Amino acid sequence: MIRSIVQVIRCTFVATVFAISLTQTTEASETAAPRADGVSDVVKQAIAQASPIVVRIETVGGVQPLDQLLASKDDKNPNQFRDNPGSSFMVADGPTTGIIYSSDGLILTSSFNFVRDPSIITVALSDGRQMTADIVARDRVRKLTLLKIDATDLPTPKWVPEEQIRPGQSAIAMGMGFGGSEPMASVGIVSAVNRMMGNAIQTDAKLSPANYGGPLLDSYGYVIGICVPMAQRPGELAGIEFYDAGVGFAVPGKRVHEIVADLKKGRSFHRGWLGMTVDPKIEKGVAIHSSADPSPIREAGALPGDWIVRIDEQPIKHFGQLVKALYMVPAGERVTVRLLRGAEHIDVEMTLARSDELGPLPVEEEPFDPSKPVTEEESESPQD
Amino acid sequence: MLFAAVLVSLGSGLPHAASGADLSKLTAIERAERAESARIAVIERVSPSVVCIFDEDERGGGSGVVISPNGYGLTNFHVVEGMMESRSGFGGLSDGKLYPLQVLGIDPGGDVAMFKLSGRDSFPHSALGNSDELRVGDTAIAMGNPFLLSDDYAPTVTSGIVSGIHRYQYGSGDVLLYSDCIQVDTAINPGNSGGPLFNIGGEVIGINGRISVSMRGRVNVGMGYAITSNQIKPFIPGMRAGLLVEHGTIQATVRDRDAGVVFVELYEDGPAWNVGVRPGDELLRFANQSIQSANHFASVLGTLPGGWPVALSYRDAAGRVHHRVTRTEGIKIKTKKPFVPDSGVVARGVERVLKRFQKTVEQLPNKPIQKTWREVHATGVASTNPVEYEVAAANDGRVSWTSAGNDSGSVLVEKIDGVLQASKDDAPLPLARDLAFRARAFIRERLIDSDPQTSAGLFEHSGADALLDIDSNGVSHSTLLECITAALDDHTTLRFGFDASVGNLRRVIATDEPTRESVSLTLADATGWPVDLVIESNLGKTTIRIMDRDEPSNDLDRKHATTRQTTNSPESEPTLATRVFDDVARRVVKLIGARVGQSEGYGCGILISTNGLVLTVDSGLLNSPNVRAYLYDGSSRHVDIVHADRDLQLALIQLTPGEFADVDQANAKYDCFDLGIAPELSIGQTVFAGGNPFKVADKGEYISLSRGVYCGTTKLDATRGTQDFPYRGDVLIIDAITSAPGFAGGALVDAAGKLVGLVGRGVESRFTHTQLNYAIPNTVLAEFIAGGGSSAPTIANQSSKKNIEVYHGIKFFELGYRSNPVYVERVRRRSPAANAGIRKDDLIIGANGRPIAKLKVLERIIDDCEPGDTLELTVLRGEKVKKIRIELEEPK
Repeated sequence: MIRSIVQVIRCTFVATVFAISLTQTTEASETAAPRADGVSDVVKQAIAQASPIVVRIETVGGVQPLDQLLASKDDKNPNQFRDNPGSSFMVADGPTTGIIYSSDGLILTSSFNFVRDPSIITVALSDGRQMTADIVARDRVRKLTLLKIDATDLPTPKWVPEEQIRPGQSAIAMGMGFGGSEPMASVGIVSAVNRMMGNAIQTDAKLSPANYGGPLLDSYGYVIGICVPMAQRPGELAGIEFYDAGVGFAVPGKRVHEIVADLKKGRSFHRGWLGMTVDPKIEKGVAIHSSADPSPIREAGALPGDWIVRIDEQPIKHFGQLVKALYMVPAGERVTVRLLRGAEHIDVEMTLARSDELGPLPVEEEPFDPSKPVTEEESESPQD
Repeated sequence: MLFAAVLVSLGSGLPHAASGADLSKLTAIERAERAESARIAVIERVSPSVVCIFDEDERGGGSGVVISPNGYGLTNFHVVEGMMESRSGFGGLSDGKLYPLQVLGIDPGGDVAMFKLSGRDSFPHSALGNSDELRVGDTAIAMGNPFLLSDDYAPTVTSGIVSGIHRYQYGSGDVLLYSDCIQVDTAINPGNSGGPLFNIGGEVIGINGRISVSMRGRVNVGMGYAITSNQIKPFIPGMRAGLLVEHGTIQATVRDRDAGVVFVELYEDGPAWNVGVRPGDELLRFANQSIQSANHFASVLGTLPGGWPVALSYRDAAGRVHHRVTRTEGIKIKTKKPFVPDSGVVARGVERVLKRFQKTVEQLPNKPIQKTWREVHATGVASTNPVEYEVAAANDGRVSWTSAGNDSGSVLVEKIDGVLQASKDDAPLPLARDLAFRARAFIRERLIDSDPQTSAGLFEHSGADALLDIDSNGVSHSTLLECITAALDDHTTLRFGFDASVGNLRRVIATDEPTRESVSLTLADATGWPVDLVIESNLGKTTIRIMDRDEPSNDLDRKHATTRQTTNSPESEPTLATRVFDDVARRVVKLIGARVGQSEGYGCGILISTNGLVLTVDSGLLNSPNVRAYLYDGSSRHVDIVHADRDLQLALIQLTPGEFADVDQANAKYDCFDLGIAPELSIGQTVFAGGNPFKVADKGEYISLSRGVYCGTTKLDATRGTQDFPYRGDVLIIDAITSAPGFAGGALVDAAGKLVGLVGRGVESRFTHTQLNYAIPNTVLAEFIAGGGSSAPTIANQSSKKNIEVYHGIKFFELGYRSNPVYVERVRRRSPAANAGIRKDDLIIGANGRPIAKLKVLERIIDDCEPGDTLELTVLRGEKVKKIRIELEEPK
């Protein structure tokens, strides 16, 4: 019984569809002039201009970055995944994106694409050629990586001068991450300039692993910057929690050139550390709890119990501000730290260290808060 | 219709009339370029008015916007809630500086608060726009400080469109209700709270305050909500005076019934009861809107302040229709700590009113004012609740104030030898109110016909109130008419000053403008600037014009008005989007049922035939009992599954009248999409998605519209929950967020409103591990329908999955788990792989264009192949990348 009813309905339907197509054709010819959509045309032109410089990157091998999961582990915070959704993100193994930086085979992309330390990297050019690539150097702070392929006479990008980038202008992100041989595009506007301590342009174009490492273009197909995940905290996956949320970042041309100048020489950038722990119980102000031996903060003469009140130009009122003052400063760069000891302000200069340059935290030393001995858990407390 | 006569002039000429002609000569690209430059210019102009708000410790914060040169600004209540102890914080502006911020009045019910910045003579500010003019599809630009990303206090700018209007979002109890709010697809994130939503002309049309979030956490998923500027306006005077302002109630509950919206419970002596409403009566109109649903009523009511005059129409048990005006009662709000108004703020409010009064006195002609309007010159109210604080000024120069407490007093302001002087005076309050009632009664009697429905809109804040007060005070209409006639005969324009926000008369000025039969009303706009209303009566025909008056200290606003004229025209998108919305809204149905398994209890479908066939995604929703389809007009249909395909994740359903006999199915003609014409898409082309994410649209409400671009086409390789998603065919990737629950089954259309695909179910891409925004292209939809038509009919969940194995001849290297790189361990001699040239130790890194990092993925691709298919492998041999094509055979 039910079947027969269904049959009847379908018959009606087939007839109806036929009828609709006829009427629609007539209608379509009446409204032949398409509604003007100049924005689409602009985007199309920009994409055509930039497509030759976009490359697809594939990797084989490697493991999920464990440090991310450990670093953000905080058993006391039941909302840690809500507060820091990036901490639960597993890196996928789809293709990723890069751009040709120079005609002699330098490829620029995001370090996000190699957080798993893959054993094999290949680059596919827009002309269809695919070849293996080597990592020249990585900037784990600004999230850029320079690759080298064996090719010459490659097309190169045109960069937008940074001073011409203005909030509100169109921004087009290109990426290979959803598969296919052609790059895909998503469109938004420049949301802000001078973000992340001057290292990033902000955009509301949808950025995600699908286009990290790819170019952010203006309406003429010139490159505004290289799309990277970023947030105001350290960590190679920091910023992944913002994917597709209208909060995206791109390292602008001028910064890119400065960084590439170092990467080309084989210099990699790592997160910079002061080498100290703070008492997480203190909410107002940042006091040194203990420091690693050796560590930049110890060698500069800072003592447990000193308050950190300023780093370079940034006043420090709480731990969050300390993190913000340092998350974009790589190891090897100098900072000036203003200490408050008693009633005295002391300015000390130091060079931030890589984590593997830090010594152990001395356990015999009397920490700042004697009522609270250093425990293993504490040695994992926030460090910078 | 009264509205037809309302001409809205911006008072600054009409420059776009000329440029409009030029624009038509521009190419689409040139217009887009102009629109981009205009957008950049508007953003540059309004950015300085956007505030990054921080608490005193500079830990938490939000956003705000300055709306007057002296630093008054708006934000969300929930942004300043943590600062209520000290009432102070910081406001960072795009000049890179932090300014001291003082919290003034609060509107916890509507999640709004007012603050004042100090530390500067004049602040950049933005004008409040008219949010009633918004249409779905209009450009909506949000500014603020999401995630407190701004180091230099320059705001983050995000752009999108209005996805829905008249939305209602529940609060917690009586607080933080978002009534009649704006829904946008503009990216709004935590930290954006309290920041402005601008239209393309740079006017503040809303305050961004909340978002819908999915399981991803507290980030934008394409659904932001803003409190309308028009809702906020009536509360501004009270908030500026440092008070806790209340929303209103009519002490009645309503419920949706088949026949309409019906009163269920009423408090005796409540505002509704007192005008004759009884349980069972049907609510027809409320606050000048025809009421569609109980939700709609709640939404409209939620925007009204306490003590507010409101017109309502209802049908009683006998079938008679009554038009009545009543006054809302304030809803008492309990804040965490009792709210004590800051007396300093109140004092400044008095000062402000005094100042304005003095200005008026200065402008007075030296001759005596029309004697009929003898006593009263001005009255103002510094609060939304007239009983709380009232300031009145008489034309004898006496200014007095009273408050709910015992704070009252007056001063005498006199113009002696051209110099204003104020002295203390303890005389009683003049007859300000009496005159106010008379003036309003005049407007009602003379210029508006007696039907409260048509007097709607323009005088909803004043005329109706007058009616009420006249009734309760018994002032004779004829007395008033006499006064007016006398004035007009004297070739004098009467200028009535109303505080539009509270519906009370502020000033009445007689001027010498010899406009016969013409009355000018001066209404205060949201920020207190006067707006002139000229009412002209000529041979019984009444026209009303609203004039924007130039505020002397307000050059920026004039500039803004000019820019608005020029920037509005070049943007082609809003016009496209608003037109597209009309096309889409009628062709998408809302499916509402019960939650079954993993599927949400709601979703969408698209109409594809005039007789009610609807295409949707195959989900548990369709099997839920009582699932119904709601059309754009609010009517509902029963749903029968015609055909469903589990592999394609598609279903075809038929709408039938079900138990509703009054729907004439035979004659029902549905607007529908056409599957036959599939427009060509180019990457980056503008597309629109229409659906019902988060069930934001209730039964009779319009669906949401999101704008994005077509990013490209790819084969779907995804998971849903922990399961493989069965559909692995082509999908259109878009950058509008459609992964939100409830969007699936919605329509994806191009800029011409033509269907290009069906929004797919929420999945996570295997390529990126991100939620995918995609649609199933028309071609697949058409095949699904054709397939269903030719094969034997099935009711549900037909699976077309083949189970045929193929032979290639490769033995892959397997080390325990299949997540290792795919090395070739052995190739069978004379096998297809051997013939094609695959060798031992080759590393397979790609198959059919998809990168292969582990064996699992390759196996899935091979599973999808049939004998005779070609498998294109990308292999790494030494340093060389090779592409090798294998002709697959049947297994031996």
